[in-house]
Amino acid sequence: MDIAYFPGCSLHAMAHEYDTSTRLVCQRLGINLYEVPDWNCCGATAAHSLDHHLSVGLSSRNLALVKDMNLKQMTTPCAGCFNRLKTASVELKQNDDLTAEIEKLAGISLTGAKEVEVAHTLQVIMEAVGMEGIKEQVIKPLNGMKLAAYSGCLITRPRAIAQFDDPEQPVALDHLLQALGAQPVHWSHKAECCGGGFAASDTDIVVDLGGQVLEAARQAGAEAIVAACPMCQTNLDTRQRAIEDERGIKYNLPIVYFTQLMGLAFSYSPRQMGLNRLLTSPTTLLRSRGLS
Amino acid sequence: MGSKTVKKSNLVNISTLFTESRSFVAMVRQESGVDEKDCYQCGKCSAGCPLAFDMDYMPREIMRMLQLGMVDDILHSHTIWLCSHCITCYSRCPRSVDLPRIMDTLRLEAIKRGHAPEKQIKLFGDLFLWSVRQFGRVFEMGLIMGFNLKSGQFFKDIMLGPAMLLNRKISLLPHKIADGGAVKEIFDRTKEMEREGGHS
Ligand code: SF4
Ligand code: SF4
Repeated sequence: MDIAYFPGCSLHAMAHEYDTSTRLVCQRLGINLYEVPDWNCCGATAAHSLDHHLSVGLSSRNLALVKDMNLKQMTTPCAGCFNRLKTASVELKQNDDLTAEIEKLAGISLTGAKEVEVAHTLQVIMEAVGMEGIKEQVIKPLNGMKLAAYSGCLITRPRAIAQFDDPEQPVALDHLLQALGAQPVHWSHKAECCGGGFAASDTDIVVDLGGQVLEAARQAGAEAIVAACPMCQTNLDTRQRAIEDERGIKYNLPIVYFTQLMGLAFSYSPRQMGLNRLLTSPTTLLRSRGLS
Repeated sequence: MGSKTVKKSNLVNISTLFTESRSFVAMVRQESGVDEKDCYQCGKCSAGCPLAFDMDYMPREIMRMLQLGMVDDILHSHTIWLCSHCITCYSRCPRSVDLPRIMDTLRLEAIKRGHAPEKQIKLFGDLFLWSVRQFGRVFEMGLIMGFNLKSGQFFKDIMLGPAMLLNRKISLLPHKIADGGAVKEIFDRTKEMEREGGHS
């Protein structure tokens, strides 16, 4: 399957390992990713909190670029970009007045852009390949690794826009991890907010909300948290020290991307999957399962 | 009592206030596409809001204040800045009130009127957008340095810095997209449209 790929700013910087692992894993699954040439930032929260038209305008340029590639589908591994791109895509389809305004604003025709479908990479993998297809590629199963599948806020919300999984009790990520031979734990915080939007501007909020997520995972007996968003991963990984100091508990929970674990199970090395780039090292955990 | 004269400056013209607040509420309804009257005050939004602990008014209270037209209190509130847009409330609301969208609309109006009680959050948003307008993408290193410089927290994250650099997490140089002009235009035309009296 051929699909346009929107990495987003984080994957070209802090979350480089998410980008690399996504590309390798998709290739193995027969999903051909073509990076959108000259894509621009989706504007994230900053743009839509300033002006809804600005946000839709920034995403629309990207949708129009996909149409120029002669592709009809676009995927992104970033939950934040997914939320912005899919919101724009749904609104353009539904609202002709808005489309006309955005066309004027961006100085481009959006006739083609309207036909582009957007999906998060987790959704593409689960729908195009599915559990059975993933299992077929597993060479080194994760040997019952106990994992907290952390969907976070934006992959499934709002329901009418995301049109994927369940906004309260998401299960797609758990199913994927099961297919890799891991044991997803039952836990309370799989769709709670980690405060990632305030990562730089209000660290107290992040330490509070991130701390709740780590604590919930620990109580459920998880050995690592699995993320599907660069903001969640960066936030929980980089603030873990501060959270541990604040709570007086040593969590030592690696925060890994689901694509990194897929890659491991598909027999790529931990280094190829960029697992050495995580601040909380997963080495001990991987060794305990004969994966490193 | 009757003989006491009331200073004119202390008089409040209630009918003007009423008209003002009505037109404010109508504007919010129009811009957000959400009818504030849909909210029946069940409080489910506040119960699940992860940021409620830090807010001065609960999300439910913001809805009530909007129904009552309490413009000033709403626009000075911290709540509209602390909403993280996690969309938990909207997912759970039995009346499908898109609260995060309301929060966006209110925040924008507060900015227009020069209210931003959460200075750091506003500053970070501004710098983020400056980066997108300038390069077409976010330049993390520049964003973090600029933020620390402007917020006066020069040594913030200094513990984090070396680890992030060692793990090559942050790039030192910005990446500029080829057609940066197109992105700048989107920014500038949005501003222009707003000056011309907003969007339809
Ligand atoms: S959940 Fe919906 S109806 Fe209930 S108080 Fe909140 S906004 Fe109003
Ligand atoms: S979207 Fe905002 S108001 Fe709603 S639950 Fe999340 S933080 Fe609270």
